[in-house]
Amino acid sequence: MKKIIRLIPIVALLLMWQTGSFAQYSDDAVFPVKGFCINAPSPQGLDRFVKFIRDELAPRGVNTLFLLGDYNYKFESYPQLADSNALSKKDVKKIVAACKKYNIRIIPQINLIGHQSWAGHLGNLLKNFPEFDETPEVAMPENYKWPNDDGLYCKSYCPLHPDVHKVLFAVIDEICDVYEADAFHGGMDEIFYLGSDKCPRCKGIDKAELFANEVRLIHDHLAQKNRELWIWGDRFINGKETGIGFWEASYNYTWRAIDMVPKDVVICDWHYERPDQTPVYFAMHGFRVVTCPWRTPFKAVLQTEDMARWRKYATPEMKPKYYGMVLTTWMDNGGFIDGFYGNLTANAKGAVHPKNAEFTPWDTFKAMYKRMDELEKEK
Amino acid sequence: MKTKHIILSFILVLGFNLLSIAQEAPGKLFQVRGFCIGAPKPTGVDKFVKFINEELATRKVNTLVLLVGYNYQYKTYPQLRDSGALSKKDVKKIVAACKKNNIRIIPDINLLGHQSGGNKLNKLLENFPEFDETPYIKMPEKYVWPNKDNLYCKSYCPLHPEVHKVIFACIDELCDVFEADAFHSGMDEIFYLGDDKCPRCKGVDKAKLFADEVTLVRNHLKEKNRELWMWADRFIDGRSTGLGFWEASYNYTWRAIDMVPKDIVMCDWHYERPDQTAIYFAMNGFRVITCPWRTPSTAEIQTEDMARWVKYASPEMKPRYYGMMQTCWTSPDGFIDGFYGTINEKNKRAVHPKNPDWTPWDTFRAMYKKMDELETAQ
Repeated sequence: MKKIIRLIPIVALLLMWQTGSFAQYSDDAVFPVKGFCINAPSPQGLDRFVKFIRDELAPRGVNTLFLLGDYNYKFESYPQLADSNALSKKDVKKIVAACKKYNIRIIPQINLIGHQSWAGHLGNLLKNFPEFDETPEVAMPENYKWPNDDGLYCKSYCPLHPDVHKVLFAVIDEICDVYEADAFHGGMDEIFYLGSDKCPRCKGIDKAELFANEVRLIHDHLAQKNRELWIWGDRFINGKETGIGFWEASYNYTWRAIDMVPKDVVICDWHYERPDQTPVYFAMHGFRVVTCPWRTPFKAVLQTEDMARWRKYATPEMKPKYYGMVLTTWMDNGGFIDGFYGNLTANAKGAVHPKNAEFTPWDTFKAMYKRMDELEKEK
Repeated sequence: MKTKHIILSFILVLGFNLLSIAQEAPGKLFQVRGFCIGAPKPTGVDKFVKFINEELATRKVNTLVLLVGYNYQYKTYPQLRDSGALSKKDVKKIVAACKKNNIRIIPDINLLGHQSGGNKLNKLLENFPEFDETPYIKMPEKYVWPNKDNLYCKSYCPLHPEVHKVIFACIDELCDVFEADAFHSGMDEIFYLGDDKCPRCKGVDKAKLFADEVTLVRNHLKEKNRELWMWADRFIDGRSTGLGFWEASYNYTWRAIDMVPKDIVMCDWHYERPDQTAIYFAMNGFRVITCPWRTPSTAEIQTEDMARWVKYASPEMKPRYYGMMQTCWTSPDGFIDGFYGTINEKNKRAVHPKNPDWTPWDTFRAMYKKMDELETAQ
């Protein structure tokens, strides 16, 4: 009897230690990061998403969830930034509880620098703080078309505006606090407007340095609260030299920033049409890197095999840099769940690959996790 | 009647197909099918020529990097000749055999590093001691590694005002006699560079010192429309990648990757692991060749990697995955003996200490077998 009583605190301690370490990835795993990236749900779609976490993410062993939220939260620090139909604190806590239960690390995201508008609509940051606009001379079109004369894909904020970081740091802190997150995703992909010749603060500054300084500033702010920065990898790749182009790589001179940012930033390297070998480039530069497929199942399978092989044959120094896989969805939360369960709603339809009806984010999700599972079993 | 038409068309299509395969072959999976070995001594030339005809040609080797150094009877600087060096006539025998078999010869002289071996200075520093980067380091009577001077090999000083006159004369002469349109400059495992005691080099950024020397040699070759090929290890950060200080650099040279012309061909050598470093070079704009040595299973994986990189690369990156090259690091005499099953004093040190089946000749066979399988499967 005494013996059992003595054992109880030990078991309790072990259990606590286990729960406390849910965010720790195993170096021995075939894939330390088993990730999923999706838009945060609307309040109306919340319960359905929580169910999806339980029924589909948890059984597949997903341990990392990027939640693309931007201003889909009722911020207290800057209430004017919140979307009209934004998640409340109570809503968020439901997601947090579900993820805690299944040992899923939530990494909330707010797009930094770029993606401050979408098509003809300004994002909430620039709507409320027009003075942060990097290119105020570019008017938002009534009818957005790509390509256009302004090269307007999305607006950017000016990283050298003296007031911008006060606002950003407040919302970053708040979103990390409410999601109880020890990592934050800063987006920072597809930034076309940077160091504009007409920006009185940025003109003439090396764009790699501009970009790197902003990454470092955000990184350092997060580090003060022991939080990690994760960002998309495209601005670090020379798009012309590699032929990878100006979306998933850079044409605007930012790639040299790879030697100018802290090595503990986690790079999310996204390639959808080819299994590019770019994670090796990031790993050799000292970064942890996750490969992020989207909607081409057989490419995602190749990318998954690549990641496993890189880890298998790497030096002990390089192996932990090959961090794992994150499936991206690039669509409305509910639409993904519709598609996943075979209901091709209007929201789901937009995500289907134009070349092949079977190339979808949900099919890719299934295929990638199936292959990951097979490779884990082989080990 | 109709059948006749069909047969004719079939023959035409077949013929067209065959034709296009033959024409496209060099642009296929492995553009470079390489082999790298020390040049023979004059007494070994015939044996080597026979080996070219019987083993390299049959495997469709199309590139031969020949490590010559001062094993040639230079006319510009006769004092640099090794004793018993190849004559012009000897060289022409090798040239003829390679011409006949469509093999491109790329002669090599080690530049910067490898200016001594063991306790012996090589011909350049023996004759021009003033070129020594570290003259205060005496050659030991008995060489052991590691040693307190960290002496692996001596280097010449790339900033010595006279050194390039000599080197360029030798490079030109060697390329002329081998009728070569490319030159391999070695430049691997350079430990002595930018020495703190060298009055010319001290304080100069080592990446810049290295890049400037590479660029100078490349530009000299370019004047005669010749390419520069070299070993790639100094462009890799050995510490952060864990690749170490042999096949990568601990002496701050890696940033030179952004400072040298992109038309240099990188020979990326890794022997114990199938490192993915070729991707790094290709992404940085260089053509790159993976160079295995004596571990057959690793060489096979490296060959498969190269094929996969070519297959899935963007059109811009595809041609940069340039091919495979077997390295030997034993005398040609010893390699040929080993290849035909004789282990002797000349080749026994090339056998991997961990496994008697891991030899450069077994690796050569395994790698070319794998290359053929992959090309056939394509």
